[in-house]
Amino acid sequence: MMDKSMNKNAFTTSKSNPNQSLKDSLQKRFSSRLGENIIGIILLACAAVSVLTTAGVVISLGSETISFFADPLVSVWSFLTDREWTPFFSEKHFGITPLIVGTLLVTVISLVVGIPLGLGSAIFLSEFATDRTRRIIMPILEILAGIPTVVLGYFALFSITPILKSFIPGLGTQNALAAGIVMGFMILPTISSISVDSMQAVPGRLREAAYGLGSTKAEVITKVVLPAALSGIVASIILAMSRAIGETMVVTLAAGARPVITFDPRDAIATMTAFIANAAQSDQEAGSVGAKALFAVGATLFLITLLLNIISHQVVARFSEKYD
Amino acid sequence: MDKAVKSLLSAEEHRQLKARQRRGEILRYVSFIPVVLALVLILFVFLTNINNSFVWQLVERGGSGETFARSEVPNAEAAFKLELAARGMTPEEIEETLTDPEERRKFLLRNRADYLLEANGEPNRVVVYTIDRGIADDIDKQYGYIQGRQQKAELEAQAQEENLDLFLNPLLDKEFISRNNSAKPQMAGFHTAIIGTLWVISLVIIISTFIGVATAIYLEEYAQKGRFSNFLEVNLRNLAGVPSIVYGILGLYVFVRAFNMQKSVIAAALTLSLLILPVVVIAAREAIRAVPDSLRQASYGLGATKWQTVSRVILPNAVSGIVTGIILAVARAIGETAPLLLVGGAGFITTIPGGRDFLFDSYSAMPLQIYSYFATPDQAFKEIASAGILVLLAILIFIYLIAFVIRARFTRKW
Repeated sequence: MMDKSMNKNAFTTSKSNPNQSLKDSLQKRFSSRLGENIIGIILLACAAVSVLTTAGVVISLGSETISFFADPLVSVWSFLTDREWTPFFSEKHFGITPLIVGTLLVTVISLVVGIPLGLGSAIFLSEFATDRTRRIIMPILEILAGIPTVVLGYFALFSITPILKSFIPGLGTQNALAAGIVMGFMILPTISSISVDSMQAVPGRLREAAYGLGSTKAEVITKVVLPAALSGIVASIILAMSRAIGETMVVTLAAGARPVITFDPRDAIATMTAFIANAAQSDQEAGSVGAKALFAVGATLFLITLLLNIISHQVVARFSEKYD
Repeated sequence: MDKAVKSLLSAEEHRQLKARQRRGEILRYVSFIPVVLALVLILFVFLTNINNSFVWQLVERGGSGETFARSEVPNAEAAFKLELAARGMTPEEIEETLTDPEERRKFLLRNRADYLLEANGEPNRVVVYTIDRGIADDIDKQYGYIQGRQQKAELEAQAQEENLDLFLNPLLDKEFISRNNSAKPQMAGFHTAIIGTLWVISLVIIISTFIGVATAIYLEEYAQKGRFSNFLEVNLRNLAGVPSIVYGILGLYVFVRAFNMQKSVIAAALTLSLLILPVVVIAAREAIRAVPDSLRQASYGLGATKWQTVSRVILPNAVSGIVTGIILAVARAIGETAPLLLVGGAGFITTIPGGRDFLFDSYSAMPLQIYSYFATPDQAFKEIASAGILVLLAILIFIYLIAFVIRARFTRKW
């Protein structure tokens, strides 16, 4: 009570006892400092969640993968060299090659479709489109990126495959081609948005210099803008590749669950992600070698995508041209 | 081209210049093709699902065999009364069936009213389906709208011959989103999936907003530039590139097994929150960074503490960017299927999470439900999946629109 009344009449009290008022305000300052520190600690704890997430990924993948390789049925050597992947059969083989080949096949198809689409749309958006057109088209591409992959998987299976079947003989009901084509569209926004950014970052004076030398618009784009923006474009393609490798639902629905070594895009194949998705739904007992195989494939997938992401950032960091 | 320029060039040079300029024009149109293709794909996705959701069905149906004009039946209750009368019940029996709680429960379990655009050639009808014959498939054939329209004459002939009904059934109607799921295509609904998604996503919004925004504030306002903040940044960037299914594995190992949460709402919510966390952090950081330093300095100059500056100056000015980022990230979480396959969302479930322990209830979610329709051997579920896809897409488009409006309206320019 006493304190409160003193605060109310700060003017008079400070006159009678200046030290008391200073002490009060310092005390206040101190308690608020304490509050500040607590807030800082809470914020730091939240920031640490992302570190814990990484630790969680590494521990969950690592520990189960180690116990997978500790199983007498498996060895690192057979994992890398065996040409069959049959973890749920009575005669078990654990060679990851078919899954890697399947993943690569779909990824290559998606890049063959996605790179021209992504680059083309990036050139249009960055060099030809007016501001208004860009404002309309950019959100539409964002919507394309936002369509759930399970929807696109259905689309590949029930719409694209029947169309392809009408002119490609021998196309399976589930096949790498339809999945790859749809995934090409899926990675379009990734390639496009990053490439647009790096093309817009090319300074106007480079373009104007090229025009000044008598270049046409097409020559400015292909001989000046694209080479200058190359690092961003390459990075976007690597990032898109990583997306395609990690994509699950489209390949699970449309490309199948058949781990064989084939390079024929008309065949059903199995990717690493499709195996994980299917294994998660099978009634494997937790702790069995088949269930651990899921983690080993997950670890392989994680390492590959991590490597690609790091390369992509290195490309940007090391090869991007600096204009000042 | 200028006459003066023309006179300077030889005929050959002139031709070359023309060819070079033409190549420029070609590049313009060629580069526009991918944009058109992307638009076509989006349209195609929508149209096929719309086409699949309006199905022509050849049905062998239990019950009275009658359909009722939409104008006569204002609601399902009226349809039930007419149907029971058509089955030969007296008014007293009808009254008892529909009012006695036990009788009513039994009746509703086995019968439901459905609106049809066309039934046996008559428009706007209501039919009462019965599954008295167990859960055996009673849909003989089912076609998307266009295909059915083309084969309508044949279908009508077949209906006549085999004594079947030919219905044009809009699968996506009010009942579809208000009905729990069922193993029977006529009765299957999307309600369980919608509520499941609602539960999971509400938790995701709370968790990822709190942790994501706090991380962004820490990195932008509190952390000293140095090794630790660098490490945090690299770590977040790499997490953003981790495939969603790996987050599923993380959730399976940590939440489902180690924390023994089993296949529950909370395990799914935590997994999805971690999945979108990097996206939320990146968006929130950009929004915070866009607040000009002059505002910070003004606040400090007035004697504000750090937290006062953050909470009263920076966050209010960055809120539209942060909210937009969260909305877009949450839209992604709504569509995610792969991680939920691992942390054990149920494809087939007929109850919704509820009660005191709802956090630990099993659940379904919209994309998961769509995926599980595919896994059902019954072909009729293919079209029902399309109806589910339309619901999911409609919700996502609504969310995107909100995000675009916030971005366009409330973003401050400095």
